[in-house]
Amino acid sequence: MTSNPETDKEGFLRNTDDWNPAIAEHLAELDGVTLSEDHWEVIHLVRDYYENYRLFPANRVLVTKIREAFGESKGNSIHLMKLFTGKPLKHIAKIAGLPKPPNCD
Amino acid sequence: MSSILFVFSRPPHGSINAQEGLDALLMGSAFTTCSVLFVGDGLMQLVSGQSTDDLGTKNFSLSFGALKDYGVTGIACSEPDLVARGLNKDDFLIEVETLNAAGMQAFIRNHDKVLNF
Amino acid sequence: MIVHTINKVSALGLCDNLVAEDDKIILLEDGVYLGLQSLPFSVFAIRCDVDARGLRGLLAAQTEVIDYDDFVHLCTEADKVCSWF
Repeated sequence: MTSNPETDKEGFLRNTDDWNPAIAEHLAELDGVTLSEDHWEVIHLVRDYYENYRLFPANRVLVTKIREAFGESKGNSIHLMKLFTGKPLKHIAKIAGLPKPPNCD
Repeated sequence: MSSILFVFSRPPHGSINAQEGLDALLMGSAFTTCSVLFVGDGLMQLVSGQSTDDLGTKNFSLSFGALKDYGVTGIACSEPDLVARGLNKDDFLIEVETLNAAGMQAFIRNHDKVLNF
Repeated sequence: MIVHTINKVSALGLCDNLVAEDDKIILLEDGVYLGLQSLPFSVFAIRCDVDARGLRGLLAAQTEVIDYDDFVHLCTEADKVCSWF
């Protein structure tokens, strides 16, 4: 990574186009998360969803999409909580380089 | 829980109404049965090929494709308003039911609350 | 029965197909100008908005002038209220 991209005061990328996997690793580190294959599955899924619909999926929608793609054992909120700590949606959005989801403090 | 019919009646990019209506619809769908009816210039929200890159705003028209994920299955538009604008359903981003005046009146009657955006 | 409120002339175009035979239309604010013409609906107009615009003698015969008390009463009788603006 040549230089750190510009972020807002909460650490979200100001420009979604700045995102790349190395930056995701960096943003995850700042949130105290080490990215594994399970993390990447979720990150790619939300990025694809955003690309298609310009929308960060609501929790229930995200869980359903993960279940459809990766099976019952991962298609639940607990899986996300374990991967991305206390507030999974906020952390996922940030690491995926997407805008902060609505209603997410 | 009351069912809600969202009526989208304004064109997409000239004001915040359309974006706010969609946000409210997606939010409402978490709590209760929500449907949506497009009338008047609101039909223009559904036109495919919208590109807001140069405008610098979010192209939220693409979000209509997510309505089924959010459990919004009642999606209809005004047939007279469709015809008046020289449009047909192939011009739209998503599958939409067309309703005549009587159909729209029944659609309204079958919901507990109606919100216009 | 559904009450439809209209607060500007252009909003009639949004809802004219949506008003059923036994529904009622209530005109308020600039919507009261619609009361000048004869409409194929049951039409009421809010008195203070009519008077402020000097329209009392100009309204179509079918347009019934009502006060806020009547407005509230009509709304409570309705199954739901739709606001067109």
